Amino acid sequence: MERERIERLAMDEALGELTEDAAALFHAWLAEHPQAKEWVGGIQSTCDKVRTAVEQKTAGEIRPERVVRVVPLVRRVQWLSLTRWAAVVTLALVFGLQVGRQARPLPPAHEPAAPAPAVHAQGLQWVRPAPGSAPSFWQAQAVALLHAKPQADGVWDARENLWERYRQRVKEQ
Amino acid sequence: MDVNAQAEFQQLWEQTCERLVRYLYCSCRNWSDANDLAQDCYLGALRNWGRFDGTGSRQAWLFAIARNRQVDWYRRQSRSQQAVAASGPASASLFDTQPDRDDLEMIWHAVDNLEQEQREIIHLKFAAGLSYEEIAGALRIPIGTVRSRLHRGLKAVKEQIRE
Repeated sequence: MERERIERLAMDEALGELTEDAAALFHAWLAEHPQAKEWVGGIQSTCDKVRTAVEQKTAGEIRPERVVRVVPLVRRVQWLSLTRWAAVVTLALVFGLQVGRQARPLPPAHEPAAPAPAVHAQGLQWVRPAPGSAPSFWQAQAVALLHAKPQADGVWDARENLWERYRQRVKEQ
Repeated sequence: MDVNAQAEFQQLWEQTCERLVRYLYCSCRNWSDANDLAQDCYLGALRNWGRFDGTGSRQAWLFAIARNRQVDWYRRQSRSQQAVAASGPASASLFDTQPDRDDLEMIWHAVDNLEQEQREIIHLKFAAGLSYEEIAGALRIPIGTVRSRLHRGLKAVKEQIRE
């Protein structure tokens, strides 16, 4: 084997990068080639010296307590992201509410022939279908609800469900 | 960041904290800066935790972040050194320390005199204790390149010591 290859293998061994099998093979080869031991010794000795020098020079003020400040930040970051999401959802709700209020349909141009009861007049204005068009299911529901009256004791009649009110309303029309 | 990721991060921190500071110190030569840079690295890792693509180990990924931070730090230092040099008398370069005759100092100085590519790998190997594979992952180079650079670096150190 050429010198550079042997030195690299020696370096790998000194740095613990050689597998056991490879190291055994390498040693077997070295036993047969004693002249290569000098090259191996040279590079392995340099490895050890550099390791010692670097370890000693960097064995100083390592202060994990300074770096450890980062760990509680994990939770903080998590809370921050939760807060951010909560803020986004709240903003979206407020925005949606505002848009919803402003997007109420305009009152129809022609008032219908049958005036609505005075109490519900305001509410009926925007649920009432345009003249000449059939009311949708939900419009009819809303109208039926607005026209429904509680019984004398103030309790709504449970038997009169929404569907019956709708049918009644359609019949009336 | 879910609970598993938090535990994983904590584990990574425990495994690497000391070695990371050592590695950063090799470039900064200032413990305060090394500790601050390490913190910066962990914050970077935390922010980009989900971006790890799974190739290589987390350690290699963390040291890749550290390397980028180190380069940024070095640029900032170079700029401030230039500013000082422009405003006053010429100052010594960042790593220009006079070696003692002591063997240790001589070797340390010999490592400093290596080419940046070789020096970086020696720091990653001996200060950070990374394997060839992890160094290759951190530097995004093939393992063969790691081996050859390390070998050339050690040979150069050997030559310098001999002189």
